[in-house]
Amino acid sequence: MSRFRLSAPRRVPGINTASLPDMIFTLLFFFMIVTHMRTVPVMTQLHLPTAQELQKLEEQSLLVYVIAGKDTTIQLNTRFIRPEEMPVHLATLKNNVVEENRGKMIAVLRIDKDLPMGLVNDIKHHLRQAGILTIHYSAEKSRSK
Amino acid sequence: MNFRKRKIPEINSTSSADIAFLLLVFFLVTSSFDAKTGIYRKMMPPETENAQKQKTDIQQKNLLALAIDADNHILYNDEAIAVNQIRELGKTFITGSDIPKHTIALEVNRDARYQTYLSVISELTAAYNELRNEAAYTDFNHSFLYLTPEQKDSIRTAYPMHIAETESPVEQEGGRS
Repeated sequence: MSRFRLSAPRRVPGINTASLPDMIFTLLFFFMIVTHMRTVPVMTQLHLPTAQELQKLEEQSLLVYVIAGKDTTIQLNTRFIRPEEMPVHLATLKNNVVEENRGKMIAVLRIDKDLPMGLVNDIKHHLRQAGILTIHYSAEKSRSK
Repeated sequence: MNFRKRKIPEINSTSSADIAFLLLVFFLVTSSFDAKTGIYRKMMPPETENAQKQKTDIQQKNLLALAIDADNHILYNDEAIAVNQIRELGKTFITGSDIPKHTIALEVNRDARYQTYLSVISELTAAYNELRNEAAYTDFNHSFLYLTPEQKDSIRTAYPMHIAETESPVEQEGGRS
């Protein structure tokens, strides 16, 4: 019987935490890949419209955000502007971009779904006059079907 | 002289997990999950003043006139149609026309809701995409997504997107703000 007696008191071994940072780093990289940085904060309340045929916005730079919230305020990038000021602001935005890249600018329209088309058309008119011709209507995937 | 090998002390790494956690939390806070999905559209360059407005006569079979009125009804030949009918209508129209010459004219009232407009645009885009996909299968035996850029371009030129948007005339002049 005495054969099996333990020489030292029994102890639960401590968990080895050497690989814990690696696990956290894996999580970190996962989040860095699937999310993207919030570049322009949306400062108004809006519900995006829904649509079926959607494409992802692939460009990261040369974007011009035009955000129109429920209360018809227009936010151009990070500041609120009045509709009639749009040409001036668009011109300064274009001036900040290197000349050969100006044609590649994309306007991202995040507009509330209940706004009248008149406002949308005015925004599009100003963008067209400013020479920003590619637009991306932000929309969410519709649930039905 | 006997050189004893010096022992290098190990770096204490217990806190590196905390550092990684801090980074993780930072990224969770500053990033957003909202998928940037939407519909791309290319507008015509602005008209220069001295360029004359050229009126092109479009044959009846090459023109599909759709309208959205102030009450968000979608009109085709002055008859209201549902959103889910647009895709089929568009497809049959495009295949029945001289494809490079076709035009879809969309007249939108200023009081129509943005959502209605976008659903129409989405359905029309879907019609084009389905046609292009079918062409991709017959020509290259692949879906449009997996074609090379040259093949995509050849199909895009065969099925160009011609959507002309106009605004319904308003009663009082100078409606633009």
